[in-house]
Amino acid sequence: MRRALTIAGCGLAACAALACLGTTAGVGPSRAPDAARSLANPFRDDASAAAAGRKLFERHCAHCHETAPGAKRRAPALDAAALGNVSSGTLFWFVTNGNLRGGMPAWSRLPRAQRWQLVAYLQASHPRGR
Amino acid sequence: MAAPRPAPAQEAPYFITYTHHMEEPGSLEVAIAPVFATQRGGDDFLASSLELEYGLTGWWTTELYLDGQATMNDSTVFTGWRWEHRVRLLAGERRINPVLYVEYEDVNGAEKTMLEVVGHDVEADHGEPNAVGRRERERELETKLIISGQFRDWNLAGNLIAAKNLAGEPWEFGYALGLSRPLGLAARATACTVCPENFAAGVELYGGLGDQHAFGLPDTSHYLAPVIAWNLPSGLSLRLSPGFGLNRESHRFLVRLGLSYEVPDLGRAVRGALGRGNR
Ligand code: HEC
Repeated sequence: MRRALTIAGCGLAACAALACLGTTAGVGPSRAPDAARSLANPFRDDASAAAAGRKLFERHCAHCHETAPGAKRRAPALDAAALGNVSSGTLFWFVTNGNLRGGMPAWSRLPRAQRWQLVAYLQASHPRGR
Repeated sequence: MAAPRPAPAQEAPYFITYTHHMEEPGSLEVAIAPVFATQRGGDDFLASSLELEYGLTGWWTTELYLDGQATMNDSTVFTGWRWEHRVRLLAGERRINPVLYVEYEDVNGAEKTMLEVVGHDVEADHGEPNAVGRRERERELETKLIISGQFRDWNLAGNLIAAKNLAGEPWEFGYALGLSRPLGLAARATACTVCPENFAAGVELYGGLGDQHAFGLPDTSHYLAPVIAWNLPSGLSLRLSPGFGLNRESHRFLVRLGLSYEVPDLGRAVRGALGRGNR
């Protein structure tokens, strides 16, 4: 039994150490590679895509990114100040990869079309971000 | 007070195969996953696990399983618990994303959920009466290497299992493979419950690989199981999977049902329940 726990403990410590190493890369959208930055949104200027993106945002993102007055903030507000100069491709890349170390999940589990719809919504609500 | 906002996991629809998609940090997913199986040379049974999955961080998920079963013409018994950790090894989305899985389990010989098939696990193991199975106690360390990736909108995942009964038995091995895809890719602009975007379908193939003395596909069981999942906007998920044994050592037929509910921000939910919610 003691040996079992020791093995389990060592395994876990090794995982944790590896994960720390692995997750140091990538902080925020500024780390997007050049090839990703220039990707164009297939739903650009599509109002119904932005509406679908809004629905997806409410479902998957708002509980972290929108903060009730007086409540503790879990994630940065996605307003014009945050997204103003970020390209569609950069946003798509960041939403896909997340920042696991910083607490932002990776959304690669959502189909690509839905990730682009989210980007369309984020940018439609902050038009400077085109 | 802000209304609680559900966040359905929108995970791959698998029952057996793990992917690289982790639980959201701070979120709790509660699930029950009963399996009904036919049994030759014994009585059919219904086994189930209660699963509590929590995102400790963005790259580290932990999960507790409580297992039990009811065998026809026999009894209903608690069969033990399992506690696992899953750690994502590399940040960022790659073609192939490795995840390490470590589990400690303390179950008895009447355990029948078949969430992992390893070694020489065969149908006949489940034929003995509960009173006999319960007397055997198994403490096991189980590790899995999970590799998984998104290829266009398909998920492809493979798990290699190595398990060791700590009473000094040999290492046992097993595998699980999964392939799945959402049925609808783009979301509709309007709210909907029964629409393709809320469904995902796929197939799983899993079974044993023998042990360190006799490695390979013979003398163990193998299953092929189509899966379908329905993720409701309310945060509830339903999954269904009929499974078919591929050789004489396997149960002929299984059917799994999964019901899960996601609590997106456990801390806030608990504070709310204690009356210290955000106003
Ligand atoms: C579990 C909470 C959580 C959820 C859910 C979540 N995020 Fe985030 N998000 C974060 C955190 C924390 C950060 C800040 C990460 C960092 O420090 O880089 C972040 C950062 C971001 C940023 C970068 C903001 C900036 O100022 O650099 C974008 C864009 C973003 N998230 C979009 C989304 C979208 C779109 C969704 C839904 C699909 C989503 N997030 C869901 C926690 C979350």
